[in-house]
Amino acid sequence: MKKVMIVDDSPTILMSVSGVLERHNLEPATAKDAEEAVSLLEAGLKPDLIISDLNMPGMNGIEFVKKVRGMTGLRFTPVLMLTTESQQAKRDEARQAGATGWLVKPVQGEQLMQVIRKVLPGV
Amino acid sequence: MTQADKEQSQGKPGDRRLGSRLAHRLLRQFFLFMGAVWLALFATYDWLMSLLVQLPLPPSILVPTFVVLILLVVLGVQSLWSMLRQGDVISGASSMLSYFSEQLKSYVAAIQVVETALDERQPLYGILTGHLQRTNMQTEEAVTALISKLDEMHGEVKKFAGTMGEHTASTDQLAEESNRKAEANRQAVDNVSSLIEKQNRQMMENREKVLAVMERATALEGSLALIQTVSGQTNLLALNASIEAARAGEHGRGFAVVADEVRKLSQQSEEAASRISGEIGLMVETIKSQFKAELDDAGSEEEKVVLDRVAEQLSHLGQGYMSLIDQHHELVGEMKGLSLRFNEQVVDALSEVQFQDIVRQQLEQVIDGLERLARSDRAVVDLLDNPEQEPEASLHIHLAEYQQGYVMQSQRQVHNAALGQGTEKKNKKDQTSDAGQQERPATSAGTPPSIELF
Repeated sequence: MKKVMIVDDSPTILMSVSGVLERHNLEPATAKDAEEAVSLLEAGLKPDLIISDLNMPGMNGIEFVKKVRGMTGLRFTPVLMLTTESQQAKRDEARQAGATGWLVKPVQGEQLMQVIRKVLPGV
Repeated sequence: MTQADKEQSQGKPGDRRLGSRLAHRLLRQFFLFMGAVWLALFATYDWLMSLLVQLPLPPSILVPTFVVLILLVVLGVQSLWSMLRQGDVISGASSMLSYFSEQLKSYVAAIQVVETALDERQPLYGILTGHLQRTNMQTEEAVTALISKLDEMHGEVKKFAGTMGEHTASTDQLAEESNRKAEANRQAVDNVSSLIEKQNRQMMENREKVLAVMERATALEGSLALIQTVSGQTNLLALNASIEAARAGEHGRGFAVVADEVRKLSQQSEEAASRISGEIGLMVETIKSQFKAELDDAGSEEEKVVLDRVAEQLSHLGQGYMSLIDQHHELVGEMKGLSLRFNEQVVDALSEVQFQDIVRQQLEQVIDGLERLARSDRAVVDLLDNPEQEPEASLHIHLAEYQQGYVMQSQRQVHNAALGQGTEKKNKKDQTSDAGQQERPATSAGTPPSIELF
């Protein structure tokens, strides 16, 4: 079963996205902010995909992506940004930081799964 | 005027008791003036009146003239003394009035600044109202969507309950029919059992009979062998008799004829024995084949009837099971379909709750606006307390700075709509698409798609 890490300061989003993933036979791992996510990754968690918010207290999503890209074994792990922000400038920033895709909330479950299937073939 | 007097007379900037101090000072000055007047009146009355009498004045105005002179003198002396001591003709009251006037000017300036600030914040009220209306609308849409999903799920459950009810009724009917047929089935099985028993019995009897016939036939075979032996011996004897007759010559001619006849008889006996043996064998075969035909013929008719009945019952039974299996498959299919539809609806419902995060961020922006207003209010109070000081930066609401906190396109649209920027038609269209949030391509207006893979 493929493992997907979700990073968001909103408990509602963590529950919502986890619920969608579980119903499609994916194993979710949640973190309430980027710092907790980094701790989990440093502790050995190896997700097949990371879905991260952009605006979070402390480390923001773009800084988190940069951090992830510098970690061993996570250089090519797909990272999707799931955020309410839709500005092109922010997207460009995320792209340059190494993000794989951009999704503006709210995203329907099937739309999310279509994107996941594109970045994680075989799901 | 000493520093203490200045502080006392002018008060500290923003002193709210400035007016009462001024009144107190003026009142004290008035009483001192009146005391001095009374003292001067009593002290100089005789001397001054003796001088006034010498003047060509009517007697009726002497006293008022005296009083006016005293008043003027006392006022002059007091003013002179006040000027010398405090640099002020009315004991610092005039400087206080001057300061009061300056203060009023500062207040007026501060009020003008406050008025400007209040003007600046007016659009923020509109923006905050817009955000709250947008939040309210979004909440309502999301909750309506959730209720709709729940209604759909309830409809599915209700439909499935109906299907289950239909299946239960069919199963009950099938069970009733099976019970009704059970007696017939039991009868058919009993018939088959009796038939088998009867056939077994007949087979045993026939077997006994055949064995008895076969035994007799075998016994006949033994007798025939004896006849053949006797015939052989007879033939041998006839041959010996022929030899002896030949040896006897003419006397034995008659005996030779007898011996020849005996030999012929012997041969005929043997032929007869062989023929009888063949006939017996044929008879045994015939009995066997007749027994078989008889057995077959005896059971076939009854067996056919019974087996037809059994086949019919089995066919009914099979049909019942087939319809039960069909119902089972149908039910499993229904359950599978329901499960899939339920799964989709739960996933959709889970997606709908993302509105909470959006609403949270919108409300955070409203809270930020209210905090800015609160800081501005505090700055207004501080400015009115100290009108001479520079107003605090938080007095002014900078909408451009406030706008930087936006994280959603819908927030910017609400902001622009409240400020009357952009067309309302466009905003309405964008808001609708934002609320529906379907994957949309980049528009010619430059709105990026909601989903994009880099």
